[in-house]
Amino acid sequence: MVQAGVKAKVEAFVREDYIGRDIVALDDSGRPIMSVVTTRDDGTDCAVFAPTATASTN
Amino acid sequence: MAFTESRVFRQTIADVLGNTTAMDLDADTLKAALYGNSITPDRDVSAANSAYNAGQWVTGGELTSSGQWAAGGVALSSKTVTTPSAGVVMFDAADTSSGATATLTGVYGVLVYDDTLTTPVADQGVCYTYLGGANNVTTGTFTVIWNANGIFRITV
Repeated sequence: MVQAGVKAKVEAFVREDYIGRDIVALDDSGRPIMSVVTTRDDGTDCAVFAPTATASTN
Repeated sequence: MAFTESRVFRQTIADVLGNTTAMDLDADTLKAALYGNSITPDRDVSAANSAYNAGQWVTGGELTSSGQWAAGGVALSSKTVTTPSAGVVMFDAADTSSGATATLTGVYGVLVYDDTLTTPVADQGVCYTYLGGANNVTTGTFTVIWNANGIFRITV
């Protein structure tokens, strides 16, 4: 979310490594999304999509 | 040496099932600590080496921002252990955020650990999450959005 009137650039970044067994968030195109970064004149915000850690019996 | 995957610690599962530790995931204080990519997490380490500030998780590899994402991590809120579908046990919590003026560089992963535990292993690790690359924030908010499938899940 960006406050109205604030100049900002919002970018989505794709995961930079193999997915492996991790359960990751996907964007509308099915790509594994790593984070969304909002760049303002006075700084950046970063929302990172953490994968699910797993334990399995198989 | 690097993060490569997101895993639950094997010894934690064994210790909970064997009543070696009194870990209570939805009642204890659990914290999320941030790390760079200079460490090599291992799901098979001992309980002692899964703990915060031990083994790979020593503070030398931890990333902090004073007053924003403090050393030792940020506490998780709204923690739940559920059985959302057949064969699945899931642990989840609300998304975890820093203060509004954090500066962090090269955040690659998160250690979730039990900050309430003092014995037999203080601050025993629960799981770790690989964020998939370097994540940065400058004078802003760093938010870990936990996956809809939970912080961790066990398939039986």
